[in-house]
Amino acid sequence: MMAIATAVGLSAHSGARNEWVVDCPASELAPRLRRLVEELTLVDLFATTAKGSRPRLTAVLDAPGDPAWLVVHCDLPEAAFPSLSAVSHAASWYERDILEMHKVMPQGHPAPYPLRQGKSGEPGPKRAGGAAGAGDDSGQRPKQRPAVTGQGVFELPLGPVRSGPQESQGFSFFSGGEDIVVTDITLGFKFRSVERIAEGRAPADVILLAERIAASSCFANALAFSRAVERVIGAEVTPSEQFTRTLLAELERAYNHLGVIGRLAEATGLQVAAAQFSLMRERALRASGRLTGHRYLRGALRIGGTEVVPPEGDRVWLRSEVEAWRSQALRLRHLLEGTSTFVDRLDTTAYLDPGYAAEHNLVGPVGRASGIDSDLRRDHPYGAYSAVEFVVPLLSLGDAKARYTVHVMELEQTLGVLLQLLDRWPHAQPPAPLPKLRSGSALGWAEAPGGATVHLVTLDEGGRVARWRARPPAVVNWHPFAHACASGNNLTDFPVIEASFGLASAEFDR
Amino acid sequence: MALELLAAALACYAVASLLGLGVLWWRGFAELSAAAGFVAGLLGVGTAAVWLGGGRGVLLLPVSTPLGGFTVAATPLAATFVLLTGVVSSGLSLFTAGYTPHVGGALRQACVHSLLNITFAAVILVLAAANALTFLVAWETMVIATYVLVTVEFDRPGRPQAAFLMLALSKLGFIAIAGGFAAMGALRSGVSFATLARHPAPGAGLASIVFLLFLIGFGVKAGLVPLQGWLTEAHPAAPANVSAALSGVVVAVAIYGLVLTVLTLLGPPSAWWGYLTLGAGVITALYGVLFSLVVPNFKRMLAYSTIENLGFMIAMVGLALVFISSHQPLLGAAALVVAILHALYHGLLKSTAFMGAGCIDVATHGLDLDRLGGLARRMRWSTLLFFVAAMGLAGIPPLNGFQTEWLGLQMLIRSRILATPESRLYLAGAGLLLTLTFALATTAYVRVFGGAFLGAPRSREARQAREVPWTMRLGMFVTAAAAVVTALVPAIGIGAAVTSASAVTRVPQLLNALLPPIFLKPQQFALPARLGGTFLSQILPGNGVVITPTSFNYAFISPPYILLSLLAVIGLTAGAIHLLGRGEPMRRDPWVGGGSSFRPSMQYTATGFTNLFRSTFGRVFRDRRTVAQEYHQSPYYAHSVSYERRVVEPVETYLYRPVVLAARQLSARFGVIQGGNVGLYLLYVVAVFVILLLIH
Amino acid sequence: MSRWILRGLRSGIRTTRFPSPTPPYEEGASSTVRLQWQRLSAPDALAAAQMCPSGAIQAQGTEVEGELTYDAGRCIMCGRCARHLPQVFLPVKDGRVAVRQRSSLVTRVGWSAANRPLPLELGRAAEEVRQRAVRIFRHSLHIRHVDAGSCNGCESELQMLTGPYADLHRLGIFFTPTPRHADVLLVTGVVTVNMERPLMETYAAMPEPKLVIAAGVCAVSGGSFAGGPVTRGPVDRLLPVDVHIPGCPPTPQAMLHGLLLAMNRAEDRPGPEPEEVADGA
Repeated sequence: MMAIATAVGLSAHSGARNEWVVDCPASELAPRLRRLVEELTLVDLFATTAKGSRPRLTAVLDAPGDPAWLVVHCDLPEAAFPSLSAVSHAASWYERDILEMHKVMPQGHPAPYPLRQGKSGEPGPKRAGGAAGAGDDSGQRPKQRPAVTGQGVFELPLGPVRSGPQESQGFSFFSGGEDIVVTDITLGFKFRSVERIAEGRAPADVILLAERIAASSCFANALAFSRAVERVIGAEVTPSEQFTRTLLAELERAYNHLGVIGRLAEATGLQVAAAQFSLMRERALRASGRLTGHRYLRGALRIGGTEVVPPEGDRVWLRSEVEAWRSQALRLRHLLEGTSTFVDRLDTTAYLDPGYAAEHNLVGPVGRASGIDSDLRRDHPYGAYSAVEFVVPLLSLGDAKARYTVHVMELEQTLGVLLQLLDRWPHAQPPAPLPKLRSGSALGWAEAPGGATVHLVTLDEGGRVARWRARPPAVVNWHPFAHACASGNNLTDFPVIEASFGLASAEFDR
Repeated sequence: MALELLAAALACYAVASLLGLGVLWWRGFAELSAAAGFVAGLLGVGTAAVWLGGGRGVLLLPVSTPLGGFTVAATPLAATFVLLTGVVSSGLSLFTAGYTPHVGGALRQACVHSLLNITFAAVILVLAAANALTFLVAWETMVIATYVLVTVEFDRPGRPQAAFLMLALSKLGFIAIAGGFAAMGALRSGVSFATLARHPAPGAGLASIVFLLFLIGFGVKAGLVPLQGWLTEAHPAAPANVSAALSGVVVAVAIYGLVLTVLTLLGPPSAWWGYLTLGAGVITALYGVLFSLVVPNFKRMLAYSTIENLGFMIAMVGLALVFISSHQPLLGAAALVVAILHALYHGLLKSTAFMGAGCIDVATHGLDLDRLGGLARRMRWSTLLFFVAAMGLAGIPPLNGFQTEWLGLQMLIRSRILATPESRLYLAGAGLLLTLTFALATTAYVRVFGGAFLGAPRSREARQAREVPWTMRLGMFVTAAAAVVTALVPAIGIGAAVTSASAVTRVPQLLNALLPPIFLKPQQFALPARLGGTFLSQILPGNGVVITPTSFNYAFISPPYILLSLLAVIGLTAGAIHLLGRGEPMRRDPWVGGGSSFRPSMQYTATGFTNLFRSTFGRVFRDRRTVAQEYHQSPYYAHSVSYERRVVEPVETYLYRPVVLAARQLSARFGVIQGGNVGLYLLYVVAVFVILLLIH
Repeated sequence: MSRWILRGLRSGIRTTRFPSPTPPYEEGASSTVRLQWQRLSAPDALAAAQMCPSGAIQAQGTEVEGELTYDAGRCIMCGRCARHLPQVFLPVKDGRVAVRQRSSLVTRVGWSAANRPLPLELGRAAEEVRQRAVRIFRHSLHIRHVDAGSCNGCESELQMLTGPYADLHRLGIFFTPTPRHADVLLVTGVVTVNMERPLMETYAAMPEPKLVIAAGVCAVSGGSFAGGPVTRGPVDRLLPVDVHIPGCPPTPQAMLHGLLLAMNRAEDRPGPEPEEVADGA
């Protein structure tokens, strides 16, 4: 990592452990950052604006096989910067987000339009600060949607108020009858500006906000946030608390993957299978409730440790539960894969080719089903993952079937990890006193059920959160959704497509 | 009386035609011409009534040619078709008065007014023709008049080509018909249809050849697959009133010609004629309906529907031949009644439908179904009248299409009295395919009516549509009302068709077999007589309440009963809603998920509606889908996407196109001798002269 | 397919018996916090107000005399007060927590020599709502759900409601895809700026009579996102809310209770009566 940065001509200084920080002069941004984005994997790109100062562009980069991260900061002299989208498509949505939120123009972007629906650009002084060069915002520019022409093409609107108890997302399908020609997605309906609300609050309270980014990655986001804070202040977590964190994170993965598989069964009309997975999911949620008092593991985490450590009795009980889940999951998988109506609906549906996945740096099961071999638990180990064995499933078929298979294999791995954790549980130690909160900035990360979640947290002198950037997995994985929808699928395939991606719009609309 | 009325009608058409030319000088002549045409149509109806009532007569016109004289006669077979022509032409005359200004300048208007009346006169002459020469001359007049009418808007793309295709195929048909007449000796001087009918006697082999010639010749006009190509080109190309005349009357004349020649002039038919005709008719019907499901142009859809209906008529003629050759004269006559009756009903309904298309064209200047919509609120009367036509053509009871379709299928079910299992199987298969055809026809009309009239307008033109002039609506009203009346009082249509068919097959008691006199013999028809009570027996005495497929025990329907029960159901439902419903209904835009406002582009399109059929019958349509996109930098940034789905017309693509290509190549070869040099041509003349001298 | 049927049969009946009178509170999580007001002391009250991250607990007063309010509609169930002051704040697993009036979610306790629960003034006429609902929705209820800006926790629990454990359909309750058929609008999440219009359009598209349920503390009070820069606030700022369901997210039982309350087939959550102390802890 260091070597690459140096080769590009930037001198990195060490931040927190496994984290290199580079300050890139704005004049050098175009050649240097482009080179880095080409050589490394772009994990996150965002801008921050503060009152009275210039906008600052931050990129988080990762290299395969290197446990360290590279964080590049660049103070922009004006409200514009050279676009990276030509080098990496992954930058495209980040840059549109920057344009929308901070009025900083990515120059040369092929589709410089706001990313979200409506007026989600944050009001108030934050935006006014650096937006000098972006022009006045007289009239919202229309959201870019391709013009679809052809005999008999019609538009099928879906959402934001969907048919069942679902999240608010807007879709427009253009169809000639049954086939999907173009899918246009409108996100941002439920944008709550979680990161802005957190500013100026104590990290202990912001954990509760991180939990409420999305229930589908509740614990993972809280974990990533608290790890970032712990890396700033250098807090140590006792082994039993590390095990608890890992246990809960895997529990969260278990009930989310069960949800994805259950929704796939429901989308293919297998009501009994859907009910079986719903039962298993309910059992996992109840287990979470029993261990932490909350079905979605909220309030279980604190900076420097956990609020709860499951006592011996609960661990023994959980072990027998997990054993039961494992045999049940195996039975159901066997049945599912022997049901042709299930397999046929998934086969070749919503194909996402590995080339596309690689160009957009997809994460999580969606990426791993299209040949992206990445898993933070293995690539950037944290918690107690070094104490257990697991494999990261990898397929390159890229269709809904592959995504199902990755989910089901990961579920089996997760249940295995849970058993290993319970078998190797360390003796409890008294937690070390928490170091005093101080200013600083660090990355925190975790592998959420949907993929990598990476947080960059900056604390001010008082130990309060000055800046917080969360990049949950759906931010990345919504990107290919429209593309996958249109790849020769029919409108009736949409439930299958949606279930196989398992995306939460709450993660996107933080 | 029979011929005097005919002469009066023809004279009136001539007057209307001349008045039509007057439009060149004064616009007001258009109305006068329309009025004269209307009167001529009424006279035509009167003529038909007299003929149906038994009026007879023969007249030799005082003109002679080497091939003999011109003779006209009053025949019961022609009477039903004269009736149709009279009704349609009177309706169309009124419609034309309002419609022609849409066609273009004074010259074109005059042309349309004049030639349309000439066409009707020619049609009536064809129907009245009593010998082959009269028939052929009138036929050719009709063909040429319609050719000019189709080319009236010659400056619009595709129009001359369409008209030329029509002319070329019509010539093919003419050659076949004339050849048929010549082969059976009908073109000799002094040989009339009546003498031929009395001495039908070409040998069996010759008769078969003549039969094939007539099938091809009239098949061209009747849109028999694969000779149907002109229909689907000429109808969309022609002005709406011309299309209405073509689809309402001209194609029916082809059915008349087929019945006249094959059933009366050729003597006892062979069984295979019937099977061939039936098969060809069924295939034509299915082909027509399949494409009427998918084509996006309103008038082209109607043209395909015409092909479907003609297929059904031809199939019924075939069925009549099958039954007659199997010595089942009653069933044969009944099948013939269905064919003639359907020609009458279809003519009334389809001319209404094409006039409806004309209304849409006038109001929106476009006929692409995917760009229409919402016309029901903007053109209430046109919509209602078109709705009647669509219901009838879709075969929804109690309207006309249902009666003939039901009767036709019942006749096919009666095939179990046939001797061989193969023939029974053949007829059962035909019945199955026709049932599929009728079901698809209903879908096709649902699509057309829904796409054009319901929902919200999909284009600016449709949004700005206004109701058309009253003359156009009145013209539509004439034919639509005739359709409704004949549907609800089956005695009119079936009575006329029975009279016509009886003249051909000479079966007694045909009317009572099809329309049993239930109130006169209540003990025999206990159930329907009791159902009808005394009320209906007062207003509909005798025949006319119940239709049966020649046997009351077999099955029966009663259009007046169906209407009454439908009205009762609708009334009860409306009453229940009124009584049980609570509060004021609230009106809101269609629900589109709360994110955006409803846009008309969010409606299911007529093309989208056909998706199921495109994929189910994908083999027939060769459905092709192409998606092309334009983008910045990479395909991920598409800014416009164009989508295309096309069906391939197999007959045009795989039959006509190679023939046209071959003809072009051939003419290119002949082009070598066409040097364009005057000297060269003089040389040719000299050469021919020398050769002639040598031969001599 | 037959194998699936067999597998389904082999699982037996797993459906909860809620709302039958002897509920096994099997969800394993607490639905609300109950104030054991008899044991409240001034220092505890002030400390609790200090530590509460959502402002659900507020205290005013001195060491001698004062008043503590606990607003279940703002409590995000973080569990801090229960962990640090278990003698006063008791997590309760009973899912019957929904109420018809927003003010019924608030408990006021005065501390002095003798603790006493304080009365609350009532807001919108609850009886009217009850009368309307009893006539129409008692046997069947069709829900139109709108996510006005939630974290998808509420949606997750709503989806579990249609699963075999809660099995909404046995109670005659159904989700409907269109607001045209809906009797009740169930709103989850704080209302964001961008969701305001869809929410109001959905409400407008529903036929009269209609009820509104605010499910989850975000919908009831704004929850963690109250006062955010792009939020409009709780649902009752925009629409008349008939039933409030607290919880973050509400447990399936709490959701069921709220729906039954809308149908007038259940009673409000029990108020702070003197005799109820520990139940189902």
